[in-house]
This record gives sequence, C-alpha cells and structure tokens, in this order.
Amino acid sequence: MKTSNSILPPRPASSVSFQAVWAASFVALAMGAAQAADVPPATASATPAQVEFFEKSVRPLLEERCVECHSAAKGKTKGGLALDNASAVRKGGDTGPVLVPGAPEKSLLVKAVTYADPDLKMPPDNKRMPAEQVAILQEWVRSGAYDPREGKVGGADPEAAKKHWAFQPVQKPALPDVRDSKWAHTDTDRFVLSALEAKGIAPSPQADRRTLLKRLAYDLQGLPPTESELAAFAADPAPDAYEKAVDRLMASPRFGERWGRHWLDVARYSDTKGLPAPINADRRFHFAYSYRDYVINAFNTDKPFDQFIVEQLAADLLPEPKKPEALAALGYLTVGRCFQNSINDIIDDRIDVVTRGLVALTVSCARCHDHKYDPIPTADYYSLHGVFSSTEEPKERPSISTPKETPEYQKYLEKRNVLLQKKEAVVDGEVRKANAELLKKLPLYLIAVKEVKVSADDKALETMAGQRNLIGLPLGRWMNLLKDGSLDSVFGAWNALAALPAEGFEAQAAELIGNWKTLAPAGWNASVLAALGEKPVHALADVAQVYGKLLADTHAVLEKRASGETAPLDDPLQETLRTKVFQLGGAGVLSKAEVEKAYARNVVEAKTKVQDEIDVLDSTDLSAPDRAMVLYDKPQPVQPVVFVRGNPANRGAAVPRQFLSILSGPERKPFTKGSGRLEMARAIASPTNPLTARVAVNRIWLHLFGKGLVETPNDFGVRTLSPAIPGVLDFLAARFVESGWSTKAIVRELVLSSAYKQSSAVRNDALALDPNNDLVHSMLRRRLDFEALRDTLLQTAGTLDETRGGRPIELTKEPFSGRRSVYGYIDRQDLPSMFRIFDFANPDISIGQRFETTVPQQALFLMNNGFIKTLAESTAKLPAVASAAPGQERVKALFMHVLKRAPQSQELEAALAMVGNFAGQPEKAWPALSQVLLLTNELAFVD
Amino acid sequence: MKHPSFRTSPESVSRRAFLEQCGMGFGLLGLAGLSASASGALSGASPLAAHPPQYSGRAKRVIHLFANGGPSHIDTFDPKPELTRLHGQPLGNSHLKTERPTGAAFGSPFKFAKHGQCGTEVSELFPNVAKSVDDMVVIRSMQANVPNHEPSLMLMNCGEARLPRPSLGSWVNYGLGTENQNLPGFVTLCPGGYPTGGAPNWQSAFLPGSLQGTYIDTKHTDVEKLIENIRNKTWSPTEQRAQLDLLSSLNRMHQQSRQEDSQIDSRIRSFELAYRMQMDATDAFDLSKEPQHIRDLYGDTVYGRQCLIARRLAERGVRFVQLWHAPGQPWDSHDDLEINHRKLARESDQGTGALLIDLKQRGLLDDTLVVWSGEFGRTPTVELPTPGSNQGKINGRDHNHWGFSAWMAGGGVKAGTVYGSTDEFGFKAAENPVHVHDLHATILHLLGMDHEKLTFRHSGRDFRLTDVFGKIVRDIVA
Repeated sequence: MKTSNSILPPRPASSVSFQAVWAASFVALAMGAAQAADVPPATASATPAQVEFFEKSVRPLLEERCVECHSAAKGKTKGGLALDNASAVRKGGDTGPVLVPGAPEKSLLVKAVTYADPDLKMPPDNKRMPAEQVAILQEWVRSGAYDPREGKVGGADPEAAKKHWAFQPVQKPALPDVRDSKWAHTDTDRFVLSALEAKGIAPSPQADRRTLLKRLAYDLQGLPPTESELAAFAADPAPDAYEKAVDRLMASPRFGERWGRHWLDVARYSDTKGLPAPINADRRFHFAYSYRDYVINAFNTDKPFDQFIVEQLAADLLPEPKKPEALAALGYLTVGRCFQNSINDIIDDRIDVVTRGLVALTVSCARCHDHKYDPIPTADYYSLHGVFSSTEEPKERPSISTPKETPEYQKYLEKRNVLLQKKEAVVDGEVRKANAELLKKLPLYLIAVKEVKVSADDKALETMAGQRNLIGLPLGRWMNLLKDGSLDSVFGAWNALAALPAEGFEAQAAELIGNWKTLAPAGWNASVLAALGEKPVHALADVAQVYGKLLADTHAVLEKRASGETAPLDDPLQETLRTKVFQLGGAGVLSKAEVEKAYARNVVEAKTKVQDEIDVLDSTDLSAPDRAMVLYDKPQPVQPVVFVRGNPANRGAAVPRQFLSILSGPERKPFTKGSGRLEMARAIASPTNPLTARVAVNRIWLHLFGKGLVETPNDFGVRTLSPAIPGVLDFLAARFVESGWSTKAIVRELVLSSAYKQSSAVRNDALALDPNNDLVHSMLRRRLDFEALRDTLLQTAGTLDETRGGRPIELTKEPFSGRRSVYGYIDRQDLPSMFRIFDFANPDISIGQRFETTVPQQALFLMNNGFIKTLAESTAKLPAVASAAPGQERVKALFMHVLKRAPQSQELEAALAMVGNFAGQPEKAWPALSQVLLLTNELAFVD
Repeated sequence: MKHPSFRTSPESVSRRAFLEQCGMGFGLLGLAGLSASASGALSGASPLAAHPPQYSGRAKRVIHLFANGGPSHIDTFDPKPELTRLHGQPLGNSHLKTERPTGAAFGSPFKFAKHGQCGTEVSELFPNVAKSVDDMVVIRSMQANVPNHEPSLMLMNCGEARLPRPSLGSWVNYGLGTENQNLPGFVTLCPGGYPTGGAPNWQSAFLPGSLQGTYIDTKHTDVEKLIENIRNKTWSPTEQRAQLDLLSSLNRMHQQSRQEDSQIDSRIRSFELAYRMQMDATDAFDLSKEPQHIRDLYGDTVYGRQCLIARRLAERGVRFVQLWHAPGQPWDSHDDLEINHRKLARESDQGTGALLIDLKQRGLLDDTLVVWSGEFGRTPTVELPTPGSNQGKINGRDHNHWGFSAWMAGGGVKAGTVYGSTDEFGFKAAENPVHVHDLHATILHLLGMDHEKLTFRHSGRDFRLTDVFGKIVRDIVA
C-alpha cells in the first residue's frame, strides 16, 4: 500500500527498474536523516531577530505554499510530512528529516524548493517558488530554523488508539437480566434479548419447523434437507427434536465441506499461482488440494482453533511427534499468488492473510508508512516481514500420506525415478550445449578480446560479452590467457597479428607470416605457423578461424579418448591447448557449476519443466501419495530492516523479528527461534490475544446470521464500531476459549438460540427502532451462495457425487462433474465466469464476506447453460418423478421432489398450462418444467 | 460486502445501502440516483444500475483501443527528424535502462506528414486515423514505470503493476453503472485468445464480480459463440417464454408472503432482463444489420469488425468497451520493426479511422471518448542481439516506458492538439510528462468523476484507481 509523497514525484515504489534509478536519491535522503538526527531542538534560545524573521516571512510563506498538502492539523500529510508545527517539521516525512538547521545545502526542504533535483521538486507541477521565497527558506534554515509553532506530529495517535475496544482484553461479561426469561433459551439469547428489551423491541416469533430445518441444513451443511427429513422433523413431537437435528447435521462430513469453504475464502485458496516466472512455467499449484482437505477435515474433527492456527503458520516447527498430515496446513501461507516470484509481494500477501485472516488487522497498510489509523508502525510490518523472509519453500514437497504397496504404486515410483534421472540429465544436457556453443564461438572470443575495451575483472564485461552473444566468464579467461603477449608459444602469433591495424592488414599479415616461415620467433609452435601459412588471410577473422580449427581439432582428440582432458597429449601444440584451454578452469570449457550460473535461466527453465512433469505425475497418479505445500525456516534467519516507503532499495533501520506491538503488551520480546514463525503463531493463538477469539467467533456469527456482529470481519481496527449488542462478542469469545477453541461448540450455542430460530418475516415496527437489524430482531433472508446453489441443483437432479477430498475437478468442463463445489478447480488467473457471476470469493485476497449481487448474467446461466440443461433432464428422469403419471400427478411429484411440498392449485394450473405448450413432446415438457422449478426463488432463498 | 436485507422502502434503501457499503457513500450518489432507482426502473442489488456522475462530464462512455505489445511512438505519432539525421550513430542514452541493450540511432523508416487543419504530424502507417486528427489530442509525453509487458499492461489497465486491483473499465462501471441493463457494462474484445497477462487486465479485483470485463472472442462471427449463455440450444424462444412466464408466476406467489424484500424482487427481475439481453446482445453483435457502405467503411477484417462491434455497443449504452489488437503482444517488434509495424498498422488503420468517422457522423463522438494506447513505446535506438530473446536481426526496437504516445478523441478532449513532447530523439518524455496515472485521472475527469473521490473501502483502506498518484491534465480537456 502506498501513500502520497510530497518530496518525490508520483511513481510506484515497487517497480523493478525504477528501484535502480531511484536508489541514488533515496540514499541521499537517508543520509540527510542521519545528519539531522542529533541536531538540538530548533526552538532553543531564539533571538528576537529570529522570532521576527519567522513571524514576518517564514510563517506566512509556509502557510501559503506548503501547508495545503502538509498539515497535521488538517490531516493531510503528503509523503508523511507536515509543515504546520515544529515537532512535525523536526520529525520530517516518510524519508526522514527534511531540514538540517544551519545547513541549507544539506536540507531536503531547500533542495526541493530550489528544483535542483529533477526528481525532487516542491511545490510540484510547475508551481515553483520565486527566488525571493526560496531565499527566505534558505535563510531560515541557515539561521537555525527557529520554529515556535505548537501542535502534534500527526498521523494515528497511538495512545488513543490503544483504548480502542477491540484491543482491550476479552473479559467474560456477566449474563444480563432479561424480562422474558422463557424466550432466552441460551446464554447468547440473554444478550440479544436484553438489547432488544432496552429498545422496547420484542423478538420475532419462531420460524415454522420446515423453515427451521431448511435454514439449519444449509447453514450446517450447505445442502437442503430431504423431503423425508422435513416430514419427519415436522412430525417429531419430542422436545429435543431440534437439538437432535443439530447434532445429526453437525456430525456429517458435509459440515466440514461447508465451513471449510468459509475458511478457504479467508485463506484466498486457489489451485493456481497467477502469472508464474518464468512466464511459460506451469501455473498450477499441484498440491493445494491437500490444504483444502486439511481445512475440511479440521472443521469436521473440530480441531481446536488455536491448534488450527498454529499448524497453519508453523506445523513444520511443532515439537515431536510430528504429524505429517498437519504439514498440509501450511498451505494457508503458500497458496497465495506468486506475483512472478516477486518476493516482497509474496511476503506482503502472507502478512496480509495472517493479519487480516486471524486478527483482523490491516497490517499490510503499513508496508510503506505507519498505518494511517491503527497503531501499526512500519517497523512492525518489517518485523513480520523478517519472519517470512526467513522462510523458504522447498523445490520438492514432502509426501504426507503413506501409499499402499501395490503394483500400481511400484509403477508410479518407476515413472518418477525416470523423471528424476531426466531432471539430472537436463542439466548435463545444458552443460554439453553450452560447451559445444563455446567451442564453436572460440574464434569470436579471440576477436572480442581485441575489441572489448574493458579489463577481465570489470563488471561491465558480462554486458559487453552479452552484446556479442558471448559469455563473460570465458571471455575474461581469454583475456588473461592472451595477456602473455608475444612470448606465448601458441598465441604469440595471434597477438602479433591482432596488433596490426585493420587498414592494410592483408599485406602486412602476409608479410609477417612470410617472415615467420624463415625466422620464427623463439619458442613459437611450428604447427601454428604452418596452419597460418596454409591459406592467405584477408582479415583478422581469418586468423581467428585458423585458431578455431586448431582448437576444434584438439578438442576432437580429447573427446575421442577415454581419459578426456585429464591426461597429457603427445603433440606439443595440442598439449599446450589442452592445458591452457580445455582443462577445467581453461578458457574453452565451462564446468557444470559455471553453466548453471552463466545459463541460469536456461538451466532453471529446463529443470522446472521436468519438475513440473514430476508434479503432474505426483498429483495425477492415483497411487501417488498426497503432498503438502510446506515452507521451512532458512538455515540462517534474515535480519529485517525497514524498507523506507516500501522500497527494498532504500534500507532503513534494522528491526527485530517480533510480534505486533499493539498485541504484545509491555513484555514484548524479539523472536528467538529460527524465523520466529512458531512464536508468532503462539502469540496469535493465545487466549490473551484480544483479537483472535473475537475475530473467530464473529466469523461464525456472520455465517449463521448473515451479518457479523462486527460488520467488517477482516478489519477490527480503530475505525470499527463495537457490536450493537453489548457483551455478546466478548461472551462468545470467552466461551470459545473455555471450550478449548471449539468451533462446533460456538456453532451449536448459536443455532440452539431463540435468536437464530426467529422468523425472517419483515417487521416494520421493529425496523423503525432497529433499521439495520443490528440487534437481530429477526433473521435475515439469505440467497444461496455459489456452492450451496450448485450443490442443491445437483442433489435435486440426483447427480450429486459425495466423494470426499482429493484432487480438484474442473466444474465447467463437460461431462459435468457431480462433485460438491468445494472440490472445484480454482484458477485465480482465469476464473470461469460461472464463479465470478455468482459472487464467488476473489481468490487473490483474503475475503471475510462475499458480495451478494443480482445480475442478469446469473439468470442467463440458469436459463441457458448446458449444465442446467443436464440437471433438468436428470431431474425429470428421476424415478420419483418419471414414475408418476404424466399430467397432474407428475407435476405434483416434481414439486414434491424439488420444492419438498405439494403445489397449490394455482401453481398446479400454471404448471400444467406450461406443460401444455409441449403437447406431444413429453421428452421436452418435463425437463422444461423441472428447469423452471430449479430456477425458482423458493429454491434459491433461505427464509 | 453483502447487502443486508433492508425492508422499509424496498428498492431505494437497499440500493443505497449497497452503494454505501461499496464505499460510494453520499459523495458520489446524489438524490437523483436514489429517485431513479425508487422509480423501480432498475435492479435493486445490481451494482451496474446506472447512476449520474459526480459532476457533469462530457464523455458518457469509453472505447479503449489497446495496441498491445508496445507500438513505437517514433514510427507513428511522434516524428523525430533529428533521429533520422543521426541514423546509425551512437546516441548518449546509456543512462536510461530499458529491458535489453540497444545500440545506435535508428531513424524511423516511415514518412511523416501534417494532417487536418491542425497540422498534427502522423506517420504514413495511419493514413485513415490521420483523417481525424482534428478530433483528437495526441499525447507525446506518456510515461510508465518499467519496460516489461506484464507490469505495464497491468499499470495501463489497473493503475498498479502487480497487486490485484480493479481495472479502469471496472472503476468506470462502479462509478457510473451502465446505461443498458440488457448488455454487460464492460466488454472486452480480443480475437482468438487473451492478451499477455490474461483476464486480470479486465479484473474487478475487490469490486463485485459483475463489474469485471466480459470477454468476447471476436474471432467468431456467430453470436452464440461470442457471448456465454446467450442462446438456449434446447428451447425455442416461445418455449423459453412459456418457462419464464411460469417462473414469474411461481415467483410472484412465493413473493406474496415475503413483501418488501428487494433481493427477491431483483432476482425476479433479473430473469426478465436476461430474456431481453438475449435479444439485445444478439442484435448488438449482428453486423449483418449494418448497411454495406458502413461495412465497407470499416473493412472486412477482424479488427474492422471489432471496431464496428465497438460502435454498436457504444451506441447501445455499453459504458466501457476495450478492444485489443490480437492475443499476446502483437506490437512487440524487437526484430523486423518495419515489416511488423507496417502489417499491424495495415490491420488496424482502416477500422480505427472508420470508427472515428462513423462515431462523428452519428453525433456519438461528442460524448464517446476513444482512447488509443499501448502499454509503452519503443526505443529510438536499435535493439542489439541478446541470446534467446530476439532473432538478432538488429532491425527492431526495445521497450520504452520513459516516453511514448497515446491519443484520445471525442468525449470532451481538446481536439486538434498535441500535448507534451519527448526529447529530440524520442527517448524520454521531456515537456509536460503524462504518467499513466495522469491519463487515468483525466479519463475519469472527462467522465465526470474525481479520481480522488471515486473510492472503495477494502482491507481498511479507501482504494482508488490512481492510488495516491495522478493529476488531471487540464490542458487537454476542452
């Protein structure tokens, strides 16, 4: 998250090339900060002249030209800088102090107004100050920058922010007294009723039993009750019939599929990584599903929520005995976008999902500057940044299940071994390719040595080589090799010829070579001279070709024999070339390590390609074990520093890896174990953390009542109002912790409440007093979300496939899968429109609550999509429907099956009339009617 | 961001609640907006319902022609005689980093000539576009942040290089809704696949999914293949009408005991909207309804067809149409610049020119803003061979984000003008630089929206298209 910056012109701080260009100016700013740090307050012992100068000239000037954008009083502090009071001026902006009293030449303020730096012009947009105004500021700074103005620095007031309700410890409130104690069935009801009574609102009557069971089934399972379940429940006179229904629904594995999906919204779950790097690499997360299944399982087994948190953040660091399946929990951190491997964006995403998801704080707002509202300094962001920069993801992900020793498994292992060997072989292949290319280009290297005008150890060598399609390392080696000048037995002749000017080269070269035939310089190799004499040379390139051939011949000899380049050769020329050029470290050969470095991109791409093949095998072969998307601590943790304004090139102060100050209390201590991930996890999953339990129970409330007690489930910051019903959030949070962080205990507490059982009928009298229904004077009618709608349609059509877990399924591909929607393949880079138009949670960011929109594209899908067509046909063919006589009976059967009730007479008539349009075409008539019923509001809404 | 059930006054209140929750608050939505919905004409919970702008803007809709890949400004809209003079000689430009090494000056192989009454110079590549220079402002001082396609495409579309942020078209629809509820408010046309970066180029990010661009593969000419779910393959229109009539009566009976719930009502209405959309959308994309002389004007090419579709959508009230040249990044001419640019310009010139002339003759250009841009321009110096990344022909140009050109026509821009300039070689914006954020701020301004006030609260922050950047370029607003 970025903010405005008055000192620098507007440009994002995170772009790649931009960092390099800007690094210089940021360094300059940082230096300014260092120099200004120990300057005494500017107000000390002012002279009358200073006072007069300030009041007459400086104050009006600052007011007129600067304060519009830099005012703590007005809350507009561009670039984090306020210039309307002395403390703010002394503090400076996001990039540090802006003035050094006594030294205008070192003061950024002066630099900015003089427009000396093209990237640092203030006031901006050609509103440049005239020279006399600039002179005033220069003089002011020179004379010590006297400034009597009082006022606060600006920004969030940390002391006031600490008093925010959500930062106070959870204290279990006493149960309030209520008048209608009969209605108050559960403890929660006491809070709700007390609030309603205080306003003089009576609660709504209980919904009818069919409505209740439908509501309950959707909330707990995401699927409707069957016809017989409804009938049985409606007829069950037992006082605990409802409670039994609750227990039955919560015991089903469907519970985890429903509640796990809620959590996957928070976890911005996706099966793909977004744009990968390199751009053509595989885009899938092959094992994201192991995290999805872990989550579903966690809700089904009611894994204590504190343990759930710790495993998701640090399962790899938990003490023995290790539970391999818990490793899958780390997907919470790793299933985010990969941002083309931009590490700081990946870390930002992880900080975001951890802080908004678990403690509902928008910490990533502090990436570039202190949080505008909440007490979250940038230093805290980078303390967490250090935790995540101290971790890494392994290339190969660990398996977390034990496969059965079957022949199929053996076959899988064989296939895998072949691929592993292939992976090693691709590197060898790259080494061979690189060396073959090097050999071919040796003449070009010789020429380059003559033409490239930098030394072998110059950093620019790589670029110069690159411009010629060559590699820096061998070029440098050639440079060193040819340094010996004319004494060299083999390359002496080259050096002599290379020294000739291009003009008249041919004649002079011929003369030299001719001379050498009769009088060769001492020690020169005769074979070289002979080779040079074979053909006339027109240019130096011809000479290079001659050398190229000598080198290639030698290389061929070395290639042919078993000992390669390790043993001496008889021929003196070849022996010289062997030792100087072809032995490891020579100018004509690249080692494996050198190739991996010089051709890093090719090697990585080649390896990634095979690793992708391995991943595909691992994730598609049915006998392969499941794997976890883990991350581990690096061997050495990273010492984090603040990136000033979020710019990694502008490194500010070092900060310890530690937890957020606002949630740490006075005994805040730096993390000591590795990255500190486990310590961070424990600090979050702590009963004394004021946010974790509140945030968790608010989510549960939201999913059951359609609206959170706190309406922004991912943000409990200082701008969040405390819940309208006093005490209930804290009561539930306390009970949650007491229950051993049991999600099911809170769900049960809430669905058993009279508040939950209320009718959703609108009451204008109550709305007049409680217009937003904040006090829950009735239930809210809700429309089925994407998963509930699709699953309901499948179940109604009799094609729901309740296989649980496993690899993701593409839901929009024909033949259409009958699997529950939670098992669908989520491609964040190209999410099928079906997901989008039905308000599926954006898989790029942690989502606490989905949109609920109504757009015609939803209707078009339901009217025309092939998926609905198949469902309508299946529905019409169900035995319960097809066995009924065509006509009234079948209409009744369809109503009973789809809407779980008989049609009213008007409905029956209308349906028969429609069927009548298809006279003589029963194969069309009944699917047509089935589709209409599948599209009804009665099916799509839960009262 | 779920809209709670408000039941007092069915339509208006819930819609207001929705918009408030979307962070639009009262600033953006005046009383006019409320009464429009209270009249019952619009769907209660649809974020696409039309609402008036913050202040009156000249433009009511946008057609964005995206020359993806980075067209060379030096060869199209920014003549550089000095570069031609120094062709083949080294220029002192090594301080400006682009993606790859470049060498000597590379004068444009194309001739420039003055056009129109304003005399704006355009290269021979765009003879038809040049006919409309009197209706456009050519910006010759555009700037982006990095010389790489993906981040620059995202910047041009979403105002941010990597993080998921809503696209310009989504923001515009969020701010204004759309005028024709029977068509999507944001349509993105690209033949045969996605441009580089894919669907995130038209993402709605944290805004509602219905504000995302609806992708249409204009490779097809058959309407059924153009728009998803637009036609039913099983039922005849009469049969489907009978279905919907029954659905409507069942839903009305269901509604009887559930009065005053706008969600219920919206959903009932959405089926009727969808039914009409089937016809309207089919009609909008049916180019056979155009007379021959109009089809000839645009030319019988994919690009020409796209331009004609764009006009038909614009005149039907689609708020934002984005038109891509082709999948991937076709304008990316690292090698063979002359051949490639000639080919690409030939493909797009006639359709683009026709679009401008046709909009004008229909009186639509006044309130339709046509924007042409790439994600960046190209270097005035020749690209040097780099192993594995070009063909080493030394006859192309590298990416250049330091300076490039874009033009806008109609929609209240100062017509017949040129704004800003690059240095004498065309390397970097020199006079009056216009950053992409500034372009965005100006486009929103032309539509009647203040880029600093069009905000959406998400993750505890009020987000905007221009983030904390952007200034309106008032000199190009008429």
